[in-house]
Amino acid sequence: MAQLDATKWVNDYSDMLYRYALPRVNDAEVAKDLVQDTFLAAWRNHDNFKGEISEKNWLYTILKNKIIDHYRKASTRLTEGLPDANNDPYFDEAEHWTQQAGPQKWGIDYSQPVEKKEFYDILNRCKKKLKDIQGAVFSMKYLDGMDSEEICKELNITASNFWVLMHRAKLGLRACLEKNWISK
Amino acid sequence: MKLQITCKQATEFVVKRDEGKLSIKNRCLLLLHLGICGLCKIFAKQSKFIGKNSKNLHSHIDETLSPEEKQQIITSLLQQ
Repeated sequence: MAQLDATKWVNDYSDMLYRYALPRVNDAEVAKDLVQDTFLAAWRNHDNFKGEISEKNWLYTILKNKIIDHYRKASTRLTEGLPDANNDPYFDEAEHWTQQAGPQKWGIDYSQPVEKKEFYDILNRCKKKLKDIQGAVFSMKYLDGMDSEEICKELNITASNFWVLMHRAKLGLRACLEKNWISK
Repeated sequence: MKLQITCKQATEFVVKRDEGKLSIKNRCLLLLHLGICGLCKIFAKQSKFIGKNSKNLHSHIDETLSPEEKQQIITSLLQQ
């Protein structure tokens, strides 16, 4: 393809792809690399592009596969996302909330969707603090709307591991939002 | 049948319930617990809230790649 095409292509689609990848992988460098890899794969395989779907959707499909591959790599480090049986910051030995982890009232209407960008910036930062594999299951469920069975299959993890990871992801996000969004 | 569940179990049940994956028996046990445990009741509301609002995360991102980063991608394509 001509130089003009490469420039136009990247200018037309790179920001869109980047914004898709960023909240899913929570790392600007990784997101950038995935976008670059997506363009490279599309460039090399452009002869196979049949035009049955739009070029935009074709790029999205490639990127989604790359993101899943990235999640799979995180799933090989599964244990780092599982809680330490001897040191649980959230629950004591009787499995009650520990003093410092008990949830506080946020004083908001939980049924109202949040419109403020500040909330989403903080949510993103909190997501970034999760272990990679916790962030992966959370993104697959709540950003991509995948079912728990599908996620287990894609990541090759057991249902019981999935629920532990999701439980820990939500405990982590809740505590982080309380600290940085509510009581700042 | 054991009717009491712990806060740890209750929050695990909440996370499953958020995804519609909690059995009827455990839903009953959870409701009993939430009736007497204020902290877990707050957790339940906030857990659902987090799930619901995370769906919109994507549309609130306005970061872009810098012109240099874009040029780097273009250059890498042309080197193919």
